[in-house]
Amino acid sequence: MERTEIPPGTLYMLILKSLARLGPMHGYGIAQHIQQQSEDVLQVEEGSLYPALQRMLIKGWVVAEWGQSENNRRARYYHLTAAGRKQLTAEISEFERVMAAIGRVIQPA
Amino acid sequence: MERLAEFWRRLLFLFRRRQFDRDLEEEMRFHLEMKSRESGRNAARRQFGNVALLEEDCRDAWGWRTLERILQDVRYAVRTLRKAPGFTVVVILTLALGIGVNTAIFSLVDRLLFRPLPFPQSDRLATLFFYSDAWRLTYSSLSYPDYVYYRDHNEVFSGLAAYTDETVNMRFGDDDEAVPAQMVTANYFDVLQVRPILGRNFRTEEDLIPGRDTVAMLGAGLWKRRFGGDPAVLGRQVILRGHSFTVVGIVPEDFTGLQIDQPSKPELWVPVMSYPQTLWSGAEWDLQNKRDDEWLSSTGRLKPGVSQSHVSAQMAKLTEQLKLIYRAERIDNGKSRGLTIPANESRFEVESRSTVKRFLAMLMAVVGLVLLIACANVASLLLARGVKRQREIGVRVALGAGRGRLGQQLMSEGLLLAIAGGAAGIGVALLVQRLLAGFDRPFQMATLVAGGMDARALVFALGLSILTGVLFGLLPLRQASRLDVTPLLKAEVRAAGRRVFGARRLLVVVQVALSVVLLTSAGLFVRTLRNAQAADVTRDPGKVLLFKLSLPPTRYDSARGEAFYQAVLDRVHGIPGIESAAYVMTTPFGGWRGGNDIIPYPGSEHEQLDFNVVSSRYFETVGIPLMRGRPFNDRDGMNSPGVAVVNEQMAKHYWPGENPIGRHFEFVDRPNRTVEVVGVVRDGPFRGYRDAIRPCFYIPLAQQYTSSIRLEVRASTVLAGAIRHEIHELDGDLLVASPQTLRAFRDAGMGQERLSASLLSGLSILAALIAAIGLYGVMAFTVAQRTREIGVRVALGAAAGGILRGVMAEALMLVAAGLAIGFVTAALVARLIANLLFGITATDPATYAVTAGLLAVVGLGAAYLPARRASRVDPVIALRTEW
Repeated sequence: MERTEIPPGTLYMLILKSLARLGPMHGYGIAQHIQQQSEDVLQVEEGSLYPALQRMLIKGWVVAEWGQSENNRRARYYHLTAAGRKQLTAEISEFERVMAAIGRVIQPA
Repeated sequence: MERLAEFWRRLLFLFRRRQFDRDLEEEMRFHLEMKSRESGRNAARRQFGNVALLEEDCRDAWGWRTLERILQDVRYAVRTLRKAPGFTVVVILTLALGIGVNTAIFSLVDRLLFRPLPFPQSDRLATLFFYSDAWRLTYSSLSYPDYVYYRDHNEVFSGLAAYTDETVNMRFGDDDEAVPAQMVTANYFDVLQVRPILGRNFRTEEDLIPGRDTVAMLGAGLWKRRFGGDPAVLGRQVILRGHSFTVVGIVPEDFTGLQIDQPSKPELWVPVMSYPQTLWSGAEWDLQNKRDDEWLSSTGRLKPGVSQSHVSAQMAKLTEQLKLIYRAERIDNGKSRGLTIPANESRFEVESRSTVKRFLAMLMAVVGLVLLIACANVASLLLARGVKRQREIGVRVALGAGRGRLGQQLMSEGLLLAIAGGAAGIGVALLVQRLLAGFDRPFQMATLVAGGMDARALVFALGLSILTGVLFGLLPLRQASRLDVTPLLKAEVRAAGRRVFGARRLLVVVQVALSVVLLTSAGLFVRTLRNAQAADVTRDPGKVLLFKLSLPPTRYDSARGEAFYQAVLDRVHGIPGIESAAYVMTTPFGGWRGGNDIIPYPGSEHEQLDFNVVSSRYFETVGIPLMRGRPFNDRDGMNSPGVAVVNEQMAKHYWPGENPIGRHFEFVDRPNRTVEVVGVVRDGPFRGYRDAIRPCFYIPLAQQYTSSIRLEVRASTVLAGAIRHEIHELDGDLLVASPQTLRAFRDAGMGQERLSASLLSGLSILAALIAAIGLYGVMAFTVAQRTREIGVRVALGAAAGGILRGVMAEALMLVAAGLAIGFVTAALVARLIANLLFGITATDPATYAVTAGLLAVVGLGAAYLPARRASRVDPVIALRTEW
């Protein structure tokens, strides 16, 4: 099945939501999770994922910590912070507002 | 708040960059590993894309991209420069010399002309001046009653102070010190807004009645030196010229007063009205009321909102009103006009300001030229390096380096070089400053200019560095932007090299031309100095010691003074190793002349001539040749007939074609007396070397007593202590400063000439050397580029000598072109300095010839090594050389 690029501006929301749902995850896990949850429709490119994570670190939405991965390797785990949670709520409501608006535009008259 | 936290996180990142890079790398490795389990190693790699790019994007997210790049560029620049140490050292040294001399001279000019006086709002201070039509002179002297008139009638000053300089003897136990002092009105420090660091300023009532209030303020320097900085000095008595004064305040150490053309800064202040005690026989004068004793200067602070031009107009008006009073009192003081000059501009004696300015402008121009030559050299070196690096740059362009990024990088290299050069230049500047400080009276006057770097000079140096750095950075950039990558990678650099080579030849020609300008100017100034020194007719002035003696009139009348003089001479002649000793009233070449009226023929008009008072062995001591007759001897005393010695000019003027010996003229004195000419001595200028030779006569000291005299002793300097000892044996209280040699005294008056000659010589030799390095670089480069061609010619049978001559001829062509341009420029420049020269024309052919010869030799020297290398090219190797 063909994979689709993530719509612009929604990557933060997807990452935040993944972390909110499953708790601390490493980058690879986040990418996997988004891909699986979207049933392979959304594909997170590494080239977007890691720079996005850096920006989120700067913003203070997530913090990173080294830990043990499921196969006993050292991996960097990202945790959601309080600010991240707040941001997630804001992003979701904004996204829904936009989606509703788009829906109104394209629904058959 | 959030922004702050964010900034904090960014800042932390900056200090943990290494950790960050390691973390990121590990994170990517982990990601890739996980992924290759899923889809196989190669597929994972392919999907992952460019790891380096990804890592860079992650780093960029933190917003330090620019800084990182700069650091990266600097690191890279340091690395490449370290790989070419010869190039780097030459460039940095060249720049250091250029920037260093410019900074040193700038800091001098800044201190002398640009920087305002160190008082609060010194631009609101104005000094009173007068212009005399008769004397064509602008000067500041006025009398005390005139000062009071201006003070009380003006509406423009919030305060007007008056002051004068005076040297006052101060007693410390058995020790006397001649302290540079100022007599000031009580409001002086208030007008200048200078606060004492201890105690108080003078009070108005302390400056009202002559001789009543004997109070003094001490400079902090004197206070520390003589009183150990003890605050208890306030209220203590100090003895000034035999009178007791009470110390009331301590003046800040850096206070220099309003004039910077003084040999030493004042360290003692007394009220103007203490003149009966402070001035020599001041008690006999009525300075408070006499209008024709003009002994003060006056400076005021402008009221808010009053302009300098308004003040000047008002003072002119008041001066006109004063003239009416003069007329009533039948005084003609020669003042035609009153005016004011902002105090910041009158810190030099107004009459010499334009000379000083012109001289400083010349200095700035000269060092500017040196910087230009240095820049030309660095540009040439960078061009050559650019050619060598074209391949490297080509490779980087081919690998995808952006032009802008490349430019940034080349610019960092230029800036790095320039800043290193600037830093080294500050060291050079300090060195040059120390040399400059060694010049006594560089402007034919003493100046209170301290050395040392300050913020303004440092900013100047930094500015120059950055300017040169940007220029140098741009140069290879221009080269790089013209770059076509393909031929470079195919190793065809020669075409590009040739174009650059043209620019470098031009730069060498410019360098040689500028060196010509500097060398000819230096030659002209060196010969000016020689001519100036040759105007001195004395013999071996370095072996004559000069002591200044002033006998206090309170202790010495003329009879006691004369006896003292004779006793000193007798004792000094008794010291083994002393050839001879004598007295003179006015030492020639000190900027002063003595003048006295004579009546040359019975019944004729008064005429003023140069005149001096000397003791019997003066001519012998200083070595002025006697042309006819006899010198003074010990029989020419008070009770013997009046005698005079005249110079050749006077003999020729009054008794042309006759024997002047035995002639008489009338010496105008109180009363007049007739003197007989007994000898004729060699002519010489009096005030200084530029002085015209005028008729001059000498009167024996035994017949014309004076209380202030110079003792001149022909002796080695090691005997100075013995001579002072003998004087102190006779009068332990007399102040005897350490002596100068007559030569040092004379040369002190040629400060400007010596400074010009040494500075220009040094700088022009430097410039010629830099130009030689430039020429060497160009020739070495051309030989290296033509190795293959030369190889072919050698293989075809060209002789080594022919090739050597060919390269040398090419170098000479460049030098010749530079000489031609340089001479034309020098001839134009010489016009500007013509009035600073002496005894030589600005277009002196000998000077130009020497310059040409010198540069030709230097040029050939610089070309010889590369030429020899060319002549030894081995055709076998040369033809194999791959470009």
